[in-house]
Amino acid sequence: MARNTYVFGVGGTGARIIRSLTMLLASGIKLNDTNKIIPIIIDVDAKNADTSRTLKALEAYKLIRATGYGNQELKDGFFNTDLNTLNSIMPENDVKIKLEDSFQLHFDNLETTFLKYLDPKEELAGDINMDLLEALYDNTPLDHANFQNTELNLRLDMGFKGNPNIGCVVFNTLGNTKEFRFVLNNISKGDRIFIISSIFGGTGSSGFPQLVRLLLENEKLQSNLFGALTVMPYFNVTDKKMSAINSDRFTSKTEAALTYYSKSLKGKLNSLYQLWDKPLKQYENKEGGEEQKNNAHIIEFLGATAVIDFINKPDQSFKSKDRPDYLDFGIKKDDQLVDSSFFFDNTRNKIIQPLTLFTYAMKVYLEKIPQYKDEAFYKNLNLSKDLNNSTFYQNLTSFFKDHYKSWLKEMIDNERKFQPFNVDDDLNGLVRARPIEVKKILGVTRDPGINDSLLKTKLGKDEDTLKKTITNNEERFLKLLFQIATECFTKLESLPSMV
Amino acid sequence: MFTFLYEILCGKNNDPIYASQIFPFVGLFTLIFAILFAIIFYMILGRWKPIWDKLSHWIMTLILLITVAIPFAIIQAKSATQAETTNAYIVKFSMANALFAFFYFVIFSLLIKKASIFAKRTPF
Repeated sequence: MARNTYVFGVGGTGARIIRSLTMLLASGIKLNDTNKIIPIIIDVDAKNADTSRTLKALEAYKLIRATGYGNQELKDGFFNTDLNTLNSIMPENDVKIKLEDSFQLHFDNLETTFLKYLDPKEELAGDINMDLLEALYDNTPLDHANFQNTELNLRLDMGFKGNPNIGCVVFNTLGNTKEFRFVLNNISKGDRIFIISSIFGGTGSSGFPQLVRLLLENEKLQSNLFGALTVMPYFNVTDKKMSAINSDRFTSKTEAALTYYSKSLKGKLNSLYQLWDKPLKQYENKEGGEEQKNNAHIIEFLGATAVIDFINKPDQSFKSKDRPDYLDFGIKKDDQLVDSSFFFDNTRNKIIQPLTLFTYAMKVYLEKIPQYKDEAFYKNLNLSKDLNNSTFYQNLTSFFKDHYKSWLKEMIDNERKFQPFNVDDDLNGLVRARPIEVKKILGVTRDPGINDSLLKTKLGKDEDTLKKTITNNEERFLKLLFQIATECFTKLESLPSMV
Repeated sequence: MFTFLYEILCGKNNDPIYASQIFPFVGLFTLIFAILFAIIFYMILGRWKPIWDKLSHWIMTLILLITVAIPFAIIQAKSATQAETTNAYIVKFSMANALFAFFYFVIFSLLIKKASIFAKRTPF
């Protein structure tokens, strides 16, 4: 029976890995026995740029999928997975609960300092409990030179800035949010739960164990399969005296959190995926908000593959929660630049190949199709009007250009570099380390590889065939993109491999 | 039928061979040429590759058909009547044949363009 998988992304790293997951699912990666994937982003930093762009990518995906395929259950093709909001599993006749149609779970009353959150009526002044709070948390006033150390005066809607001791208090109230109560009531017997967090920050490291605890407090969920990904340090931030975030403390915080997890999470998870990398890149020290926009990183991409791995495993392959699986990810060779050839066959076939198809589709969609205005398929699909005016195509363009292409380029600009594709090359040179050779005999081109003639012919013939069975233009267009990408991959023959 | 059509445009010719042989023969073959040109344009090239499928190609195909239809009419008329020069009636007849070739091609284009892949939307 098809099941739903609830994927919780806690904190900035959680959101960034869900961003990578969105790209992988858009590429058409196959999921076994899956009805819906419901990503739930939990980030108290209301304006975090990383979270905002993840939400935008998810919204675009959802609209493209809904317009292209409606409620169809699909097995392949781009955007085939039903990636949806909690609202989508709301029973139609349930009028008691009103949920926002959002991928983000919202906490109440965080638009204040930690102290006011604990003591909203300011009743603790002079009380012994205030002394206890001041013993536990730094109370440097905001107008003091060392205000960056403050904990009690930290504004919560800016995130926990690397303070899990604050995060765990706030996460205690997670169970009171209507979205969380709705999740608890609606997770069915076979559904799976996956939690993504980082271990070296504030929100993720504190939210993860609290979330597991709150979910498992519900007896109904004891038998559901639980997986988690915890990401250990993979980047540093620049030294900044006035910042609450200091990467020198990442390792000690990781150790402390791991020690805590080893006790508090014992017997609660079926699979724990862990990822880390030598921190090579030093990001600019931004404490959160609109300025925190870190480039996508290969670790986040690999984190997303952990979610796919968990979703695709058959039920019988999981051990009991007393004997969880601990899973790492390795590549064939340690290098500063990673491409498709660095992965083992399972990842190459199940993850990189669909990504390659999607990248071909992106190039064809953004660079070639607008040039084919006179072709019959272009006119049949009404692209002259819809390409610029319809919401579907606007979102598809945005997804390819602003989300997917940016995501690929960010990973190229990061360290370690992940560059499976030469994004700015032509279609014949797109796949790094495996260009499609243009074959010539006596100066005459015998096989031009992927050229306009091949693309126009394939697009025209396939559109003509698809039109006989698919009347919805948007669905036909998505299938057409998939077929043209498959044709390009046929020309490539295979992905590069390491000799 | 062809005799009727040509006589509408060219008027009746005193030589009965026009009505009995030239008009039916030229009319029939012009019709066949138009069908062949449309089949080649829409069904053969139009389904093979997008190389000869645009409006400009369609206009060139039509011009080619007309340039076949005009001398075909002239040659057939001169040959059947054994005229040594091209008289005014033959010129008028060849122009009428060009006009019919144009109409036939337009009609066949509209009828069979749906069967094409790349020229489905040609000429409009």
